[in-house]
Amino acid sequence: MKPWFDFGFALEILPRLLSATWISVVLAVLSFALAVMFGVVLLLLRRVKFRLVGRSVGAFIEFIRSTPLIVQVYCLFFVLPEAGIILDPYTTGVLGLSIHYGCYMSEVFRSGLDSLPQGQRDASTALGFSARDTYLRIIVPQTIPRILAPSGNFLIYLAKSSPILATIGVAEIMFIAKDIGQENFRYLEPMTIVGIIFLILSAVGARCIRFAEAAFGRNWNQKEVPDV
Amino acid sequence: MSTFFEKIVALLDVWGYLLFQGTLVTLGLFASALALQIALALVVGLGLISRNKIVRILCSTYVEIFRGLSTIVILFWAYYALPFLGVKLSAWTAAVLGLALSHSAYMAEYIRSTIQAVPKGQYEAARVLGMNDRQRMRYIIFPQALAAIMPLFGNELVMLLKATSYASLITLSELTEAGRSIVVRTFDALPAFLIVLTIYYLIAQALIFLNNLIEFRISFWRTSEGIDRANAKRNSRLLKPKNLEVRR
Amino acid sequence: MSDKIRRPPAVSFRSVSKLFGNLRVLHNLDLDVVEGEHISLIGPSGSGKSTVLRVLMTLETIQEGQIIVHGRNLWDDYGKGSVMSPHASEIRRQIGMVFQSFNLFPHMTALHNIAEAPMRVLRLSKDEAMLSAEELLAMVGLSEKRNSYPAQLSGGQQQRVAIARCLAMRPKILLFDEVTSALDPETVGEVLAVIRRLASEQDFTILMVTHQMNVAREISDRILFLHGGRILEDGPPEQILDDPREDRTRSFLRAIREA
Repeated sequence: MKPWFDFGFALEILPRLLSATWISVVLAVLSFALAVMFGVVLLLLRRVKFRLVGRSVGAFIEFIRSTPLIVQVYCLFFVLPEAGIILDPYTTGVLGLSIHYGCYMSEVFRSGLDSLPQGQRDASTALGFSARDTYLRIIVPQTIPRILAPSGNFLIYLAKSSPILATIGVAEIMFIAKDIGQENFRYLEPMTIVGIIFLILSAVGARCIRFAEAAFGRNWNQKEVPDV
Repeated sequence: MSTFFEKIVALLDVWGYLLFQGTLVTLGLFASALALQIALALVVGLGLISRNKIVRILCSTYVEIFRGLSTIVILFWAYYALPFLGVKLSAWTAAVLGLALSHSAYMAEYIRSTIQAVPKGQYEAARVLGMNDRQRMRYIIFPQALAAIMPLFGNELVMLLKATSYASLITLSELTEAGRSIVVRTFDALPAFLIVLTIYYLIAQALIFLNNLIEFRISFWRTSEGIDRANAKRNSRLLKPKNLEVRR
Repeated sequence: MSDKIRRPPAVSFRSVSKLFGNLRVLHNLDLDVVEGEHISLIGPSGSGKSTVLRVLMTLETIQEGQIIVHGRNLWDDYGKGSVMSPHASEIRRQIGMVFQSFNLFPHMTALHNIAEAPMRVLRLSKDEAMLSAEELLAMVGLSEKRNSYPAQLSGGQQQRVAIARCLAMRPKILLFDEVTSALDPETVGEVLAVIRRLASEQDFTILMVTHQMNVAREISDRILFLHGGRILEDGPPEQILDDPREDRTRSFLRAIREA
């Protein structure tokens, strides 16, 4: 057993791992998109006039956020077939990720909305804006920059939780890495490469978030020297 | 509905011991990882605001690396890859180390930010009263940072609890693994997983409750300015026009 | 000034009560404001002054009583005052409010802030709205700041834009809620100048909550002293400020002067 890093082997397995990375990324983006949609739905449901609906949705969100993702994914994986819904592992995985992170997204959106000063709504009322206009022209444009950073972070968390789906058979990066390890009886190189890939994904992701933040909020938050 | 309830009771009757063992392992894992995590986070967190530039760089590299890697990758690497470098860890050790290292990075950041959020006036007041740096940190700054970190800490507790479930992926028989093994043996997944989820949920609620207790007890350690400044980051940046800052 | 008294009331409060939970902030308040009258509301904090403005602007609900604006009910009789009447949005358009914290829209330029409501609510075309916004901006003396964002303006400049924005909807009734309290002393003057001009040149009905007694004296026809959700004293500036009848009015004014 070679006591050090086998670069030759690493180079050999790199292509396979890179293509698996692509699968993980696509999986993450897809799940994120669904999570955002689900999050918005949850947010709207919470504000329904019917108290009971809002409360149940709140309880559901709390429950999902307090319990492990793995167990939720297993739950879907094992329970859905019993109920007659047969989905492939990939779809099950996407569903599990979307529901779990959708609950987080709804909280992000909710606190983004809440952090907007009440004064903006007051001013809109005083000027006679309709509810629709208030939301579309005043509230939402100001909420988006606030939720960019947390949302971006969750996208990165999502991408990095794809290994969970390996246990239900999704051929994402960790699945492939373990596969390689089992075939060649060497785990060091594949695992290390996975680690490096994740580090790169994180760094790239963080850079993108900062870019998006700057693009969305720069204009109206930069304070020039006022000429009094 | 009654048969469902009966199913749950029956399940607990037959497999209860497995779930109980699993819960114990989960709790043990949680406690060990938490203790190690706090210790590491203190060291690294204080290192992040050290006057020594090298220490600062080392610590922020630590944070960057362990935040950039997901907990799962760290666990897998510790259990599967490390043996090839001569270090063979048991699943338990790999799990505790992996969880602690990974989460300590996040907690170190919280420590850094809460210490930096203590109003500068406090430092000056302490200095004026004749305290040296160590006294000032211990009696004035740290208590206020501690009070500020409690809400973040509560969140972190739940995160760690959920992360213990990753240990099931490196063959540790904690609660999630117990649930899974029950399900593959019986053919009734829903009650089993609901029980497992509920157990996690109850533990999480207990943790949050305890955290809130402590948070309340030490909340008066913070000055109102400290609370305002902490909340200002959470609330809008566009409060009073006088306080507008340049965006990073 | 006597001819003002003969005009019909623009705003009437009839036995208005407002509660925040168990806290009664307004206590069976009765108030009549004649068309074109300028009223200042003064009093200690918590006395309900801002609440009077806010319930008029329908930013808060009332629990008892009725508010009548230009002869029409603002609140619905059925809901015991917690639901707005169908006239509410029309009535709201006749009232404009300027806030202590300006509440400018940070994601729009000064010009856009002023033009937005006319475009959305009055359905003016963009050109028309921008044109009248230019005029209003010139009127408050900030033409060269038309493309600046609120973050780039000083407090006094922001407040002047806020006033222009309020005027863009052509209200008949103006509400000023402690509009200079959040400003640095240097910039208070420029805002007060605008308010003075509005008070003297145009025929607005003005309700102003303020701590600035000099301004109150200058532009008000009447000053109301509020305490504990009630109007304790009501009279012309000379009376209230120089020779108040109530003890509490006296002690309040003394406390203000000593500050």
